[in-house]
Formats: sequence, C-alpha cells, structure tokens
Amino acid sequence: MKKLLFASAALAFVAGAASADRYVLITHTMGTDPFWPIVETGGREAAEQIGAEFEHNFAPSGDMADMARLIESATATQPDGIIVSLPDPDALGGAVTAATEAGIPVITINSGEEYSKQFGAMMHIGQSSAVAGHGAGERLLEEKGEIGRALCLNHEAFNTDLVTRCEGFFDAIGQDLNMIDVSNDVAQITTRTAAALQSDPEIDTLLAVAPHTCEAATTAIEEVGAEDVNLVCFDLSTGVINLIEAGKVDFTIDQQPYMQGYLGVIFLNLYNTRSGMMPPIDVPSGPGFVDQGNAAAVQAQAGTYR
Amino acid sequence: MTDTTTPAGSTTGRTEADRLQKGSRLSRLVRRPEIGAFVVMLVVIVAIAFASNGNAFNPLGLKNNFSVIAQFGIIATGACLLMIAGDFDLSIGSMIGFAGMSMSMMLKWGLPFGLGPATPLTAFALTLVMTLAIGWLIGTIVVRSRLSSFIVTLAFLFFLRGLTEVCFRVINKSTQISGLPDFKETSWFADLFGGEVFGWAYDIWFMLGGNLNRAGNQWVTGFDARFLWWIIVAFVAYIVLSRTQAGNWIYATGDNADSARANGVPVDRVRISLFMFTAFCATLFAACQVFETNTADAAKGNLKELEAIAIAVVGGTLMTGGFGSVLGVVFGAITFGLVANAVFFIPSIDGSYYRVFVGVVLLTAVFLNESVRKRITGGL
Repeated sequence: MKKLLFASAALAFVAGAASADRYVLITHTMGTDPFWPIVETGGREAAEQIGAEFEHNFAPSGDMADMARLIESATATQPDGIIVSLPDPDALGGAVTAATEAGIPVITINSGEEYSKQFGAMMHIGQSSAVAGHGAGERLLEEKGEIGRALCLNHEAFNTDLVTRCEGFFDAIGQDLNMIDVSNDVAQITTRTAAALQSDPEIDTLLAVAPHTCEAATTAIEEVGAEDVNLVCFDLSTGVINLIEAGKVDFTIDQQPYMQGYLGVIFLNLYNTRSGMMPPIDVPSGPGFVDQGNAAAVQAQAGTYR
Repeated sequence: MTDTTTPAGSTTGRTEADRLQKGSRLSRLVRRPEIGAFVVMLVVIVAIAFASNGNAFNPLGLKNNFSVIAQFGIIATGACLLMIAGDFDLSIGSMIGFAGMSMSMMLKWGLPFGLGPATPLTAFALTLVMTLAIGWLIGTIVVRSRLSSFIVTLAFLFFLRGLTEVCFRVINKSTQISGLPDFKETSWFADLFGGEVFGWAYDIWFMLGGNLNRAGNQWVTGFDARFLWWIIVAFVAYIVLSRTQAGNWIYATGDNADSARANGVPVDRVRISLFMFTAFCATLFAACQVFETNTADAAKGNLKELEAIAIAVVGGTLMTGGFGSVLGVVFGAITFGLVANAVFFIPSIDGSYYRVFVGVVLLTAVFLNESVRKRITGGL
C-alpha cells in the first residue's frame, strides 16, 4: 500500500512537473442535473484562458460517500487546486480536510458556505439558498404590494437545499411554508400543480424551484384558467426565458453557476501564481434576477453560459 | 374506458374448463382474474371523489388524471406482457430517457451524419429504429446467454441512462433541452403524440352546460393524445393476448418455457419480440411527452420501470410469469395513476403522503390478487 501511494505520488509529481497547472472540479448530484454542465463550462473556459488543465468529476450514483472517495482520489493525484461543492459537510468534511492538510488549495462552491472555512478551504463561491429565496420573496412583495396564499413546487422534496429556497421565500412574505412534491416527471408536475390550484383557489403565487418545474407550472396555470397567479422561478432554461418574455413568469432567480466554475479556477490560479492572492471574504455568485428587462440578452446564452 | 366494461359479464376469455362449470353470472364474475384489481380501483375512485369534493373528476381533473394514467398504462402494458412471458425489463425508464433525448436532440441539432434538419416524423422514426434495435439486442442477449433478464436489463438501465447523460453533455453542453418550437402547431405527426383527442366529448359536455371555466367559457378542449395511444396499445395487447395464437405462446412461454418449446412454440422469438414491445412502449411514452412539452432532460423516465412493474402487479400479473391480463393492467393503471395524482386534489393532506398511499395500495392489491388467483387455480 505504501509503495503504491509512493509510486502514484511520484507519477503525479512527474506528470505535474511536465505540464501546466491542473485544477479538479468535483460536484454532487447525478449527471442528469442541467446545472453542472454550466459550472463545468465556466471552469473549463477559465482553465483554457490561463493555459491550465481542468478535470470535472462527479459520482454518477449521487451518493455522498462516493463523492468523498472522489475527493480523496483527486487529493492523491496532487492537483494544484480543488474546487468542490459541499452539500453534506458530515460526509465530505473529512475528505476536504485531508486535501487542505495535504497542502492543496481548496475552494468550495455552490453549497456548504457555513462549513467551508471549518475544513480549511480558502473561500466559498455560491448563492445562499435562504438569501436567494428571501430575496425572491422581498422582490415579489415589492412588485405586487401584497401576496395572497403562496405554494412552493418542489420536484425533490428530500433535497434540503431546495426546501431552504422555499423556506426563505415564505419567510420573506410572512407565511407558513406551503410546499408540494410535484415529482420529476413533466406530465405529473403539470397535473399535480393543476390539482393543487383547483383544490385551493386562494393560491395566487407559485414558486417553482427548478426550470422544468417552472415550464410545467405555466401549463397548469393556463389549464386551470388562473392567469392572475404570480409565478416566480429558480434557475434558467431557454423555455423559462421565453416565458418571462411572454409575461407568463414574473422573474427567475439566477445563481449564475458559470461564475462558480470560472471564478473558482481563476482564484486558485491567482493564489498559486501571484504569491497567495485571495479575496478575504466569500464571493456570492447570486442571486441574480432575470426579468423582462434583461431576458433577451440572457436568451442567447441560456443553457450553456447562463 | 369503454373497452373495460364490455367483457366483464360475458364469457370472453373463458373456454374449456368453463364448459363443465355451472355457476351464476356473479360467481363467474368473482372468479375473473381482474376482479382484485377492479375492486381496489373502485375503492380508490370512490374515496378520492369524496375526499376531493369531486374536484378530481371535474373536466380538468379528468383530463389530467387520464394524462397520468395513460402514461402509466402504456409502459405497464409492455411490462405486463413481458412478465406474463416470464421476463422483466428494468430498462424501461432509461429507455424513455434515451428516446426522449434522441428525439429532442435531433429536433434541435438535426439528424445524425449530416442528414439535414429533422422533422418530427424523421426524428421519431429514427429513434424508434434505435430503441427497437436496443430492445432486440436486450432480448437476444437474454435468450442467447440464458442469463436472468433481471440482470441483463439492469445493465441496460445503467447503460442507457449513462449514454443519455453523455450524449446530452457532449453534444448539447447541457443535460436539458427546452424552448424548442411548438411542433404540434405545424406538424400533424407531432400533433398525433402531443396534441389533444376526444375533443368532442368535452364539446358535448360544454353544450350540456358543464365544462365551464372561471370566466364561463368552454374550459377543457380535449384529452391528451396519450389517452388514445393508451387505449390503442391496451386494445391491441388485449386482442393479441386473449384472441391469437401469439397470446397463447406468451402464456406458454411464461408458464413453462421448456414444455412450450417442446410443443413447437418459438419461445426465443416470443421473448425477443416482447423486449422490443417494451422498447416500443417506452418510445411512445417519450414521444408523447417530448411533443407535448417540447422539452427533454436527462432524468426523464427515472424510476418508471419500477412503476410499470408495480402497476402490472397491481393489475394481477404474476412475478413468476404465465398469469396476468391486460384488463387487469388497465384497472391497475387507473388505480396507480389516481393515487399518484389525485392526492394533490385534497388540500388537507400533505402531498408527500402519495408515496405512502402508493405503497399501501400496492400491498393491498397484491394480497387481493393472490387470494383471487388461488381461488381460480385451486390453490396452485
């Protein structure tokens, strides 16, 4: 075992000496989420600009233990920096600490800002879900004056981060959390949303925490004939932007994921090549808002950069 | 629905053994294999009608419930026939994801090998060729290798889902396609899958004074097209299974493949065809969603294979093969679809409870089916 470790370390050293800086991005969730390819694009393009190598790894099982192992094996290859999302501090903390203790600069992105420093990471780039949800609620209150009963459409009811988005929103508008599990099937998102709207006609505000939920919710609103219902969404897709332009979605919250990958690589590179240069505080990548004012500009880049 | 009511009291599907039996219509009805699924369905319908104040069965409620039911019904019919022949297909969900990816990708980026832009017809046809080929491949591997279909299709569950993700990431740079033009407005073929059917039923309802929206105009204009596809798939499967030689072959294959082969049943061909049939059902499922919503993502169809099997089981299909009916699966799909959707019509219940109900219904139906089957087969 020791021999193997030594050999792989030596190999990594040789490879590292021969080539440019190498940065590794490790993210959570299975590969189906449309969010991460944008982060990956950001990291890859930053690496291209500075002439560094870039790798993106994720655990196809979506299992946190598998992800911790990915971080460990990335550490073993001695990269010049690791960018990691931190959705579960208990499962991933040990692996991240091991990386930082091995002298590898680590930047956490997306989730886990409260724990970032604790594990020795340099900084965190992301959007606090509570702040983003709260911001969305405040903004809607500001636009509409008052809001009737609201309903949060959650396609992954077990995902605490998405629940936090809903909670922040309901906190801002001063209501108790009212959330349903709409499933991940586009047909059922529509039918369940329509069912909820029909069963409670007092609902006049919907919060959809993902773009495909958002698109399906507009269909449901049209079917029920409740066009006066406010619809606020999270994240972006081409379809959502079209709906914003058509006035069917009030606005969507963009956490600007491209920035998480891009800035992660750039900051690590500055740290490595400019004698430890690093922003002193965490950098929020969101919430950014997309509404009718900037929808057209965002449109052209949706799905790849936005 | 119409095809579900006619055979209930008649003597369809019963031959030889029944000739010797003397019994009232009622006792014959009670001995039908679908009776367990039928009773559970009735209970669920009545319970939901009361609990939702009828909302679940108002014009939009009916349309939406049948939208979900039809989805389930299409894949469960495929799963049922395959299970009767003694095999499983765990790749249905991933096949849905693959077919959805393939169609939407062609519609967005054009046909492969530089064949120019795709129309809904060419995208569907090419995708169907691929999925049927994969279905054939799965079937051939199962038949040739003599491995359990559970293992082989489990491999394809991972293989196809991974392939779908990789294609999305490499070609599309995003695991989601949305904002495609609304093809059903311009293409009759897309309208076949994503449009509306049975508009006349809602028109009549409107003329009779119902079907009004909040503004007093006609509310719903028709069912989703997948409702008709489900009826077609279920009807064809029913005819094949209970009226043709192929149907007998399917039962014989699942009952005892060796003696079936000894009696001249082309067991291998039956099994391979059924794997291709589930692939077809999955493609149909995906086509209806893609052309209705003009979107696709890499998670489409996730876990649908288990739901399809659950519905087949609720409908009275036996896990070990040789026993089951399409009519039972129709009842099972209605039950399962209602439970998965109509709970959301009941404001006092937290929507997350629906999985609890699904579990309860599944177990109840299986117990009921088991006792019915024992009564029919004399305790076998």
